[in-house]
Order: sequence, then structure tokens, then C-alpha cells
Amino acid sequence: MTVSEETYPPISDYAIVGDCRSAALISREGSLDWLCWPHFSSPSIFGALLDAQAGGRFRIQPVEPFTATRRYLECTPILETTFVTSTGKARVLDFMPLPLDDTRQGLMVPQRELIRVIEGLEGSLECDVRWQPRPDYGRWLPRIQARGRLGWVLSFHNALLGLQSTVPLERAPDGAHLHGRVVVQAGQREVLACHFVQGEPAVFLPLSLTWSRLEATRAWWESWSQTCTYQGPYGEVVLRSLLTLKLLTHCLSGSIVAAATTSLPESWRLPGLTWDYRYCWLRDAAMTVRSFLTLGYRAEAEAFLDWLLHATALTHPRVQVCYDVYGETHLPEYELSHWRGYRGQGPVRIGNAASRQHQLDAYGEVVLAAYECVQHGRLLSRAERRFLIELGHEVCRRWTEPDYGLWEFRDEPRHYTYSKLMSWVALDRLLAMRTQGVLSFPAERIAGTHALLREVIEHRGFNNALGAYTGVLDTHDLDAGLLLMARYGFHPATHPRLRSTAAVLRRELAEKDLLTRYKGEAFCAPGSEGAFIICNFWEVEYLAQQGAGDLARTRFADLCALANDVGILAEEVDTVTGEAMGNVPQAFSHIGLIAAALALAEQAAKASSVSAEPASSMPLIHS
Amino acid sequence: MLWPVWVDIGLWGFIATMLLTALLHACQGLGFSRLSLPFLLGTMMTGDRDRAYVIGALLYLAGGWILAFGYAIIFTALGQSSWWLGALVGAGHGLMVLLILFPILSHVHPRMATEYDGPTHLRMLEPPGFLALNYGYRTPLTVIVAHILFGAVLGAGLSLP
Repeated sequence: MTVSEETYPPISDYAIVGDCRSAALISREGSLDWLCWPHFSSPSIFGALLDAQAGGRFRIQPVEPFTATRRYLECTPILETTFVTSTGKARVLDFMPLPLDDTRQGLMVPQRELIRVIEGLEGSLECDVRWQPRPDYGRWLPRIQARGRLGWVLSFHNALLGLQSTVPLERAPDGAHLHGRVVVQAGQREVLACHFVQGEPAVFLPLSLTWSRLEATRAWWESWSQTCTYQGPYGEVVLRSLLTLKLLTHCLSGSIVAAATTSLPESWRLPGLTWDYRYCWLRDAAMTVRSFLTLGYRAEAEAFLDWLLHATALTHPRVQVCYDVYGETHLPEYELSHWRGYRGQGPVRIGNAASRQHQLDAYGEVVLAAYECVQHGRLLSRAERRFLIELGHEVCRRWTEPDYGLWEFRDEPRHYTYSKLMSWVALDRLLAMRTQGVLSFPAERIAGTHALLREVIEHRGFNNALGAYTGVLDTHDLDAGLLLMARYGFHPATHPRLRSTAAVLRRELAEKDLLTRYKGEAFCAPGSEGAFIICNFWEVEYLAQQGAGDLARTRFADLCALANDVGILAEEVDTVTGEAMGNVPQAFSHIGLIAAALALAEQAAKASSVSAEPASSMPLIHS
Repeated sequence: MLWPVWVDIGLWGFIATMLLTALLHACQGLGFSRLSLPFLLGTMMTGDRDRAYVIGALLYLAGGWILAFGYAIIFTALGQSSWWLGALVGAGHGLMVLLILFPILSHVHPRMATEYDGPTHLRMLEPPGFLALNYGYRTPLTVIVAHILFGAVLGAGLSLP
């Protein structure tokens, strides 16, 4: 069978469900094509996303031709897919149950669980069900066994995957998948509960509890969503991004992964841009923490700081670029040669060699996250204070070294301006915390380096002929990451150098009105990648800070339209086809959306306070 | 004087139980088996997963001590004690656990489901099945080896002059 677009839905067709420990991707056609258990970077159980034939899937789909519409139940990540055929209408509800601890109700719950409910809405509709697990990235030959009224199970390594179902299922002769059909009438409900355990006896819950568990899950998420203090424009979009970020947190450790998937291609034209993002990048996580803090979620931010201290203990005082969810530093990269990759665009990579790169900006992000936590009332422990000061000294020691930069190029280290900027940010915030009395250290070395970094960025990072800050010192290369200079307080947004830089970036990096992330000798060939979504949100943020509110709002609305029907953003968008590219959902993109929305709200608040009108048409952000 | 004998049995019972627990736990951690006897024992008392592990570990220790007295009685009846005799008794003990205890466990355990009745809101734990094979195909081997170790340590310890 050839690899065709029919067997691989567009990346934008995927919605995410999760329980803050793992996540599943489900297509518009009702096929669960990606799930890794017990946590984000574990080997996949269902992996049709990366190999439609060998990856395995859990599909619930009408037998007749159908149309499908989707939404998340309000304020939750419970996915509702409604199928309509010529004979009837039914919906499928997909969710991972919460809360995790139901012992107050006398219930033990499975280690991991995903529930799919089919509910008839009108007429009758025949559904086809296929449960085709392929554990261990499809390397494990499945042999599904019947366990009487406990359902079906599949043992592999020291784990057990089970399926309890009210739909009668038949096992394929080779034992490799289950298959069944059911006609659902209006009001009829069928349940399929897929559960997993590793290292201990399994727990099977009666399916009669499904509806009450769905309601408990809904209540848990609604309660979590109510904490959100954002009341600016695009509230629904912001909340959906926030929920998506929450799904990428790992509640057992406090870490935050960069995306739920691996190896979704970042480019159709340049093969090989397929990376594993199921790890905790300090940069991405620190930015996520700032989103949480700004929107009122202090617990998530503090959990991350606690994890950070634990995770970096092994590399102290150096920080690694990324870790696994439990702080593991060894993330060897290898390729799955038996998988073809999404639409044949391989290789499928597991692990990430970037974890060994030297990236200076990680220090700045970590210090900035801690600084924000402090500004929101966090009291730093002695170990945390010592850790932060040592990070500052590490920056002083290493800022003159070339590194691999924000975009993690793999050819050779360079003097990236963004890395110098974030080194400056690290020292700047440390000095600020010293002034606030939070930290105590001799200031000479850090203050001296801080001043020197500003000088280097101003003299070697700004190209007078170009009229812009450059991606690499002393070059003509361009980097959209430098749109963040105003956010980090290097200059006010109205500074002439920032204005001209933004104008040059727009002129040079825009393709079909969307910004790509870089251009120049040090970077990839122009046009090889799509538009990088977060860079476009950075531009909106900068425009709002600069006071160009109308333009910022227009661009923001255009960018929000890049999300799929349920508000999920991937990493990039193809400027030619408009198709989503790269791993999904991408924390970076959602972080960008939230930051841009906050900047818009702030700009609107400032504008309304300047004008003499008694009340603002744009609500303020609540602190 | 009975007192020193009690001390011996208590001490070696404790050591043997610790070793048995450690070995089974290692087998669990290394992925040889999903069997956790402390978890199964603890869940007889509580539905709270964390508490079950703690309570189960304490019950397991107490059970190990009681069994140590049983082993001592067997050694006394046989008129000798050695590591190999202990290992033999341990092998028999392991077989009894596999062939008798586990099959009836799902009928007496208040939170264990059965394949015939399915799960209920109280009975939801996975039953061990024949030879506890439901917990992994290497489970019988780990149980037998762990009990052989338990018996060998007791046999050796109680044979010391």
C-alpha cells in the first residue's frame, strides 16, 4: 500500500485528550492515532500517526459515509466528536478520567485510562470499532487475550494493556486486534475503556461508573479553569491554550513537555526535520510557567521550580537544554527504522541529541521563571537561592563561548545574539532580585558582565547597514527571536532600534504575510520551512507593546485562525498550503498566543486609561 | 531455655522475610513480574493505594515471622536444619502459594475481581489466575526462587550452633 494522504489525516485534524501524565491524539474521523503510556516519552501504544500501517490505532467510526464536527466540552479537554450519517446522529466522548485519586469514594483507579463513550443522539447509526494496539513503537507482536468479564488484555514487558467494552468485540485470528460493530439508537450509550498498568496488579473498574467519572472529570477541569484570571479579549482562545498547556504538564513531577508527539515533519521540502519533543525543555517550560503565573496558576509554576531544582542536581550548576519528565539527563537519539514516519516523511526519531547542546539562553529562561515566581510571592528556599546565584556565575563563565542557540542548529556553535540577550536577562534579573533583597551576593562580577553583555549586543549584535539586530553577532543574519527584546526589557518597545528591527524582520522574513523564524548564512535555506507560529505571536506582542494595537489585533485574529477547529496549534504552518506542520500540540505556539493576548489586553487597558472615556470597552487583566 | 530459640527464629524470620520481599520487589522493578504481595495483602484492608503498600508490608513482615515458626517446627520434626533442607521446604512453600493460595485469593480477597463476575465498585483488582500467570509469565519462577531463598536463609540461620 502506498503512503497516501488518505491514510494520514492532516496534522490539524488532531485533537488532544490527557490527564497531565500522558496524552492521546484523536483525529476528526474518530481514530486515536497516538498514545504513549505511562508518560509522554514512553514508547507508544498506538502510533498510526507515524506509521498508518504498523503503528496501531483505536478507531470508532460510522460505517456509512459521515460528516464529523468536534468541540471540547466547555472549560475542559473532554473531546466531543459528533458524527452524522444519512440514518442518524451520534457523538463520541473521549477523555482521561480525573481526579487521579478516587479513594475517597472507595475506588482504586487504573494507573492510566482512556475512556471512549458512544452516545446515540438521533435515529440510529452503525459504528465500526477497531482496537489495534502496537506497544513499544510497534516492536511488540501483540497477542490479545480474553479475560472473561474483565475484558481483553495484552501483556508486554511488565505492563498490561486492557480494554473493557460494552460493544461485543471479536479477536482477529492472529490475536493482533479486536473488531466489532454496534448500532446505537438515540439515547443509547456504549463504553470502551482502555487501561494500562505497569509493575503491579491491574485495576478494572465497572463500566457502570463511566458516566459519574465523566462528570467528575468535567467538574475537575471546570474547577481548574475557573482559577484563570484572564478577562481580556479572545478569552475562549486563551483558555483553550491554557488547557492545552496544562495537558502538557506532568503532574507527578512538575515538569512540562514541549509537545505531545515526536517526528511530525517541520518541512515538506527539507527532509529529515523530524524531532522528538516529548521532553521538558527548560526554555519552553520556563515560558509556560510565566503563562501560568500571569493567569493565576501558582501551583503549576511552583511545581516546575521544584522539579527544576531536582532535575538540575545532576548537572549543577550547568543546566541541560532538556530533560525527561523525571529529570533523566540521558536522552540518546535514535531512529525507528521500521516506521516510515508521517506521510512517509521520516526518520522517526526517539530521544533528542539537542539535550547535549550548550544553549546559553536556557540560563536566562530559568532565572526569569524564578524571578516571575518571586514577583508573584514565592519565597525561595536556601537551595533555590544558591542555585540561582550559581547560574549567574555560570553565565559569567560561559557567555563568551559560542553555543547552538534558540533554534538548536546542529552544524556548529555560533555567537547567537539571542543567547547573549538571554545571558543579559539572567544577570539582569539576578541583580533585580538582589536589589529587592531576595538574593545576596557580591555584585561586581555579575554587574560587570551584565554591562559588558549589553555593550556586545549593542555593538556587535546590531547591524547599522541593515538597521536591525542580527541573529548572529557581526553578521547580516536575521532571527525573529529578537522580537522579544522589548518583553525582556533590553529596550523599551518604542526604541528606534527595536522599531527598525521589527520592520526589517517583517520585510525579510514574511512569506504570505506570516513570519518564518530566521534567514541568513547560518540558518537554513529560505523557504525550506513554514512559518513559525510563535514568532508571529511575538510580533503581535511587540506591536501591542509598541502601541500599534489595531494592527496587532488584526494579526492576532489571523493567527488564531491558524488553530484547528478545537483550538489546537502545531509548531509551524505551511505558507503555501496553510497546512499545520511539526509536532502537535506545541506548547511554544500556545505560550505565544497567551503572551500576545496578554499584551493586547495590556495595551488596550493603557489606551483606555490614556483616553478620557469613563469605562474601557476592553476588560482588564486581573492580577 | 526457650527464649533464645524465639530470638533466633524472630531474627532469622525477619532477615528471610526481608530478603524475600527485596527479591520479589526487585523482580517487580526489573519487569519480571507485576506481582506485589504487600499490595495484595494491603488492599485486603484498605482501598487507598499508598496506605495499602504500607499496611501490606507490615502484614507481610508479620506473616513472614509466623511462617518462620512454621519452618522451625518442620525443622524440629525432621530433626535437622540446613540451607538445602530450608530451600527444599521453601520450594514446597512456593508451590503451595502458587497452587493453593493464589487460586483461592480472588474468592477471599474483598477487593479482587473475578473473570466470571467482572469488576464491581468494590472488587476491582486483577486476579492472579493459574500460577499467578496473569501477573506475567515469569511470575511462578520468581515466586519459587524467592521462597527457596526464604527457606534457605531460615534453614541456614536456624542450623547455626
